[in-house]
Amino acid sequence: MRKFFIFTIIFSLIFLLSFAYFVKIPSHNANHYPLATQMYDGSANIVSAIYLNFRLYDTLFELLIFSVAVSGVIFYSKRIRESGEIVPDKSFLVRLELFIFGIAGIVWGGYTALTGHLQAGGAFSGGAIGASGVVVLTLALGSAKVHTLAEKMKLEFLENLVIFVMLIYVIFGNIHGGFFSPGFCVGKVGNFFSGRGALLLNSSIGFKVFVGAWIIFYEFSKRKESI
Amino acid sequence: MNAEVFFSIVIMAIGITIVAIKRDLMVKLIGVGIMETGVTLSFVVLGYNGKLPPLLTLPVERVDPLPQALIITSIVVGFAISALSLVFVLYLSSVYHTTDAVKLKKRIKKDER
Repeated sequence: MRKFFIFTIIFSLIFLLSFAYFVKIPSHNANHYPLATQMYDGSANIVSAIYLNFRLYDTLFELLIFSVAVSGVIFYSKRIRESGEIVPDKSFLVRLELFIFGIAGIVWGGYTALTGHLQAGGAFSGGAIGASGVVVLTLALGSAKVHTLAEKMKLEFLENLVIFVMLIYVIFGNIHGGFFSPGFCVGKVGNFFSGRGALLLNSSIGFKVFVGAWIIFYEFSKRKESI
Repeated sequence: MNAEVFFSIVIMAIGITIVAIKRDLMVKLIGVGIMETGVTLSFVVLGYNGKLPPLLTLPVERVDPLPQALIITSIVVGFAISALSLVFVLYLSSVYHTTDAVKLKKRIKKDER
């Protein structure tokens, strides 16, 4: 069985290589999305227009997969023995430095997410940058303190609401005269208030990725010595 | 053939080989990560034509934005899958005290009897 598996893999790789060598993929009309973005969306970033407007269902189900992953991590990590929280560094100078870098990371993540429709970046990259900022902040303050802060701000509850925000956006968008009707809230290209619901979607998806990535990191960090 | 496409397929091959040959679950997960990187690279390379980023504020000569939009989905789904598989491995290793796939199989069978 194992040999058959390896043989199948080698065969499929040879097939892939020969496919890449002999077959020429015809270039599709690459101007379709730029023109459609200019006419129906208004975002300066065409990639953002594609995943927040033309292929919104992709993003919705992608977020559902992300939610399932976060829930799975929380569910299974409760069955694993804890090995202790992350303690802050002893040196004041190192803690101060990490604190400043952490806050800067969170602010930068928020900025990247909010201006995702205007420049390179977007909700997912913004959320990931913000979560990296929280990880650095955790090294400065200790994971218990940051987690207590997150619990006080009800971040996990708010993160779960994002899926409903997306669902409401999709449902109202499909009603005649809603967000997806031609010309609705398109705005001027390069303007902050443009790209239909880009501002709402970028901020909510960025927030979800930010909190979700932080939860995954926190659950793993508590069980770092279990393996 | 584009050299970059060739290298992306080689990276995919390295990942698949690690998944098939190695017995340690953690190493297998690293293999899956390498495979994902190969797939990402192949998509980005296929959409790249040496022109400017896909922003409407720049001149008309731009790269194709569609592969980049698809790859964003792939990266996030890859991250979610990695996190979930890691927690599974962590759980299995905490119960059966090994990450070796063959030993795990034997111990699970022994437990079932």
